[in-house]
Amino acid sequence: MSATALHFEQVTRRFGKKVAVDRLDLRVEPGTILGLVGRNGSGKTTSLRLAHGMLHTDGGSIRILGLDPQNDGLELRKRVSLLAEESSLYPWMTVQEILDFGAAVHPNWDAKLAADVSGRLQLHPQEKIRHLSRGTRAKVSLVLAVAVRPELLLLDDPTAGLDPLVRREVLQGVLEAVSDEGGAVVYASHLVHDIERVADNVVFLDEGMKRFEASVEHLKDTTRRARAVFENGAPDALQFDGKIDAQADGRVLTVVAEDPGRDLDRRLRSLGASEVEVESISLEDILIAFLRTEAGSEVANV
Amino acid sequence: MFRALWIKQWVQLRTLRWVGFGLGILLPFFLWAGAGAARRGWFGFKLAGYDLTTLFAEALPAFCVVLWCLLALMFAAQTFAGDRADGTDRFLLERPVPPARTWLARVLASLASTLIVVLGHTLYMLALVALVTDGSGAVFYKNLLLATSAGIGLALLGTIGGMAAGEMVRTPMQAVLIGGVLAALPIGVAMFLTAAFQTVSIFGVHLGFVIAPFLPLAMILMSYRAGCLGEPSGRGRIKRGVTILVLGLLVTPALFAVTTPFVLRATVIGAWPQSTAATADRAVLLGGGYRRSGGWMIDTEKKSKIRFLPPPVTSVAWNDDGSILAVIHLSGFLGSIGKVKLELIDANGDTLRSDALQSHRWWLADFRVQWAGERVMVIERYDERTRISTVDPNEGVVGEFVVAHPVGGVVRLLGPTDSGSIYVHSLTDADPRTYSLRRLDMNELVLEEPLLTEDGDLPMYTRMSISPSGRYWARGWWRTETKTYESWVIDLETGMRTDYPNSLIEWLSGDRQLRTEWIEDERRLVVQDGVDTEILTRRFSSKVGGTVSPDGRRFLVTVWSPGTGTTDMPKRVDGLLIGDGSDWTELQSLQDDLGDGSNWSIRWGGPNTLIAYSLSTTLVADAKPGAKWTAVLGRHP
Repeated sequence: MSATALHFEQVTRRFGKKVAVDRLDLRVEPGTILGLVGRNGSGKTTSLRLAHGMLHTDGGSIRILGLDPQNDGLELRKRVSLLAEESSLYPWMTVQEILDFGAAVHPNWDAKLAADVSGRLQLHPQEKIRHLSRGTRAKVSLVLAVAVRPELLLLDDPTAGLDPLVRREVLQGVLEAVSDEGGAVVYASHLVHDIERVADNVVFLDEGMKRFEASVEHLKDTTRRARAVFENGAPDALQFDGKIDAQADGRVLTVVAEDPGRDLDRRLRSLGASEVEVESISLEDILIAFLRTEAGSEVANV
Repeated sequence: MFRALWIKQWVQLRTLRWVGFGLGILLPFFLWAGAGAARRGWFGFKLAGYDLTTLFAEALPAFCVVLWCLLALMFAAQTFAGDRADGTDRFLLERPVPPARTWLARVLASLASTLIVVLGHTLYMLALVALVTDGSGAVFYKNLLLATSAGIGLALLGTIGGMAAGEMVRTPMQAVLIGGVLAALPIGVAMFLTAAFQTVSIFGVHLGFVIAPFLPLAMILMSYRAGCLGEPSGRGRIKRGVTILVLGLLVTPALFAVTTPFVLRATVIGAWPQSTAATADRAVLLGGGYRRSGGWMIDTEKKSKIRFLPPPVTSVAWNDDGSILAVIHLSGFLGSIGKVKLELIDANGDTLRSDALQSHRWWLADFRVQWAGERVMVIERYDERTRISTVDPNEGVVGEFVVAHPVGGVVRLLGPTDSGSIYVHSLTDADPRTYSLRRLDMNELVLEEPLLTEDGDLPMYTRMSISPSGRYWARGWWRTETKTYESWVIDLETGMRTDYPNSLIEWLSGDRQLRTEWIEDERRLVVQDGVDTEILTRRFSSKVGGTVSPDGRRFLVTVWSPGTGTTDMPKRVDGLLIGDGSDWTELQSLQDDLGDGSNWSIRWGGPNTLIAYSLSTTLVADAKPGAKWTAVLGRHP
């Protein structure tokens, strides 16, 4: 458990001419949860499949729990579980049959844990997979993923499309199962609220590249939003340290900025604001601010 | 783990299996209905009639063989491509399951499904056959079991095609279609090789059928490499599989090309002398098989091979001094059948000239070759004609003429005599039909007036020979009633005929007659000066045969042990005698290290050489006392 759970170094993967993952660096320590955030097609799924050894790299190196996914795939898949958005469960099996089959093909299967989690998620053993709702199928997949006591759990948007209650149940199940064992989790999703709830660190991916990486707690602690009123109209260009995004609307300027010293109010007033109102914001808003800045800089670069 | 994988694959095929069983059960009724409809002319043709025995005991197994092949293809396609099509292949890929185990479980599950369906259908058909034949159709049971065996073989091919295609494509239906092509590929390749390179057979099996099974092996490897190696998600899967398939397709013909020369040579290991030079140590050994045999030109003095003659060799003839061998063959590239060619080869095995011959019937062309002094005579028989061409070794074809005769009529060229004369014996078109013996004018290439004519009702296939000077003509034929030869000799100068009942005649040099006689239980060898004075007579109490040496100066006598001479092949050779025609040499056993002589035949290999051959070996020895046999083809026993 002492080795780094996941370590990507300049990893690149292409599908034909399209670069799905571009010189990506990632690091996940045991016992932590990394949130991978990004739009559809940003490289989240590819990154997880690379980590699981399902895909091979076109460049760079990957070590998972000290293993090379490309060469130690079988050993790695004994210790790492992948829980994906799309079900790969055999529709003709019952819940019990697929759990039995999962047990037969995995040496680390913990029958007691599987029974516990199944019970908690209220799964009915004799129901056919093809008759289950999407949410229930996600729960079955969750049991299959956690019952092998993975040292690293790769979650590829497993709660996408599920109702909030089921999503909460599944996430709760993941956290309980893994955190108790000290395992690591990489959770890829575009549902930032979920990431915010569970992740220690967050990485934002866009077009296969890492745009930024930060601790969720630190990001939320140090990033704030301020609404400042300028009597003579909000300035078009306002530069100060830590600014992430600024949007002017008449006399009001909405600013998202790093504020580790809790002095955003003072800094804005020193720049001419007559009124300043500072508040904490959600991870999603922070990310949107970052995204807007990225888009603006790209336009500016053009 | 493997058991769970196997059971999973087996259960996944249960629907298809039931469909397969169902189709087999319904098939007889479809056939029955189809036959009934055909009898009413509903299919655009009218079936005269049918009966259930033919339908169920003969037609049904053939249809079932096709059905089994198709079902095998479907089982394999579904097993190997089904999970991918459903998106459930990730379940195993994402778990610590060695891909090879999954692959093996799939192979065994599809094979087991095929076999169980074949078994079920076979039992069902056995019951049907018992029903329609009242249990008395033993021959039908045998046919049915043969069909089942063939069906299992084809179903195996179907499985292999399906598993190869199933690892390459996304859906089972694609796998069925592509797998069908792949399954047919080995059969197609075998058929192509068989048709294109007709002579490359060994022990009666064409090399194409030996080489083509490499393709299914390549497909198994293709399936394994595509499914079990490389990235689990499948990148490079098609490339890996196609590479193996292409390699298989390249290696198969390459293997065929590399092994063909050895196979062609291997078929002539037990060859016998087909032509020997009269005064030189040269012979040609040809293997068995009608016009499919290859041969070896050998030096009988050095007891070594000179040159291989690829099959099919139709006819060979050495000139008298062994300086030129005339060969008519149809050999083409790599054992294929090419154009009919006359090839003249010198004593060292180098080709002097090679001329394509115009043939009236390709492949079935009936060509023979023989020497007439310095020229080669090429005899082609077709329909109601026999064309005789003369070829000068330096100038090529210098003339030809055609002899007309009734269909099936045999034209024989006899000679050349010591003076170089050639005689033509043929059945004429005249009414009443007659045989005529005419001398050929070698300068003008025309037939002279008949020297004699015979009743056209005489047996067509007889042994005949002309004496070295051309004075005597001997003819003999097998008399079935007495199981002996009946011969006569006609003096062509006087026209006098001398009958030799129970005899067979050959000629030694100087017009000395060598006659084998059957007189009750006694066999006699008689050397006689023409038809006059008996020079020598030897009596034997068992079967005996005599063969004249190529130079006509000596003869070889083979003596069978008493009571064993009932077949042409001596079961035991007691002793071999060499007579020079004027007197006997001492009794000399030449069998030496041929064991008890079983399964050996001995012929002249030249004026001073003997050749012994069995099914797998050809040996050469000097025709003198105490000579040792040396293997030129195969191994010395």
